[in-house]
Amino acid sequence: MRNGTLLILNGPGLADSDALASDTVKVNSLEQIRSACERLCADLDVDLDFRQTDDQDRMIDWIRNEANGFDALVINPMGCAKTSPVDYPRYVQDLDVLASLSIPVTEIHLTNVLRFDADTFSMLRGPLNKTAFVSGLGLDSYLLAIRAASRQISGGAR
Amino acid sequence: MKLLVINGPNLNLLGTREPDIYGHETLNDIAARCIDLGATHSLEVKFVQSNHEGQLIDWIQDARDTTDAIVINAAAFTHTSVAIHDALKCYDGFKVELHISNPHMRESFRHVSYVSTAVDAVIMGLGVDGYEHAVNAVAGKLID
Repeated sequence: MRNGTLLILNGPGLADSDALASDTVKVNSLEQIRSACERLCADLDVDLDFRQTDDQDRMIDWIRNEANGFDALVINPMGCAKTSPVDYPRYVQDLDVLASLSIPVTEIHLTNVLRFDADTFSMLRGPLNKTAFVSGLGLDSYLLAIRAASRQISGGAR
Repeated sequence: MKLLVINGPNLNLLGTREPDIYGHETLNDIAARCIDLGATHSLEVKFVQSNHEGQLIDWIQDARDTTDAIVINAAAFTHTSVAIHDALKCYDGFKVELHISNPHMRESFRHVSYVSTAVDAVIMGLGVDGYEHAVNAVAGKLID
């Protein structure tokens, strides 16, 4: 599409509808999120690739081998860190690969993880001056990040 | 519906202060954009700035009876002010922490935020556009 390509990656636990619905943000399912993201990207004329995996190694592979082929990356690295099956310290360490990317990266979360998971949460480190963070807005965390990425891609960001 | 956008120390120098980090727009430019954007959502936006911690606390306290949401860029007080944290905890409306740059990508002394643990949502690193994104987020929460 005319306004570039966007990759949205969803990590382990984010396909768990029960966990999402019981969360403070009351999102029903990842499919609900996907549909809303697809609608907004169509409106903005942005080509969207929306993915989810419960496999932390696959997530790292996507970032390392494919992300730079897009114009921007939005990443929700995982659902609740306390209940997710991932090896969290190793996963966070592996996610350092984000810093090697050349495209804008926005880390997003449905809830304000800095408030509710403050003891366990580690913020990701992406490329210098190209890393943003949005949390606590539920579905709107995704939509805000898409609008921001669209401006970044078009060169209209200020 | 009413939104108060509170700005902390040194943000009055926007446009001249380290423009490679904070951009070339002045705070007045940003305020005008936010007020206009708010009007499209029927959201009345008031925009304030102070270099003084106590003034920021007074504004947060006064907002309890007069506004439906706060967007706060506490700037350097983010990393030091338990008093601002406490004031925000006493505010029951919707609260968004905002930063132009991403403090977690900068010096380690900016990695602690006393604001993040007292708000509903956090937006960082989207440049001065972050203000408009925050206004839209508040409108989405309160109105749309």
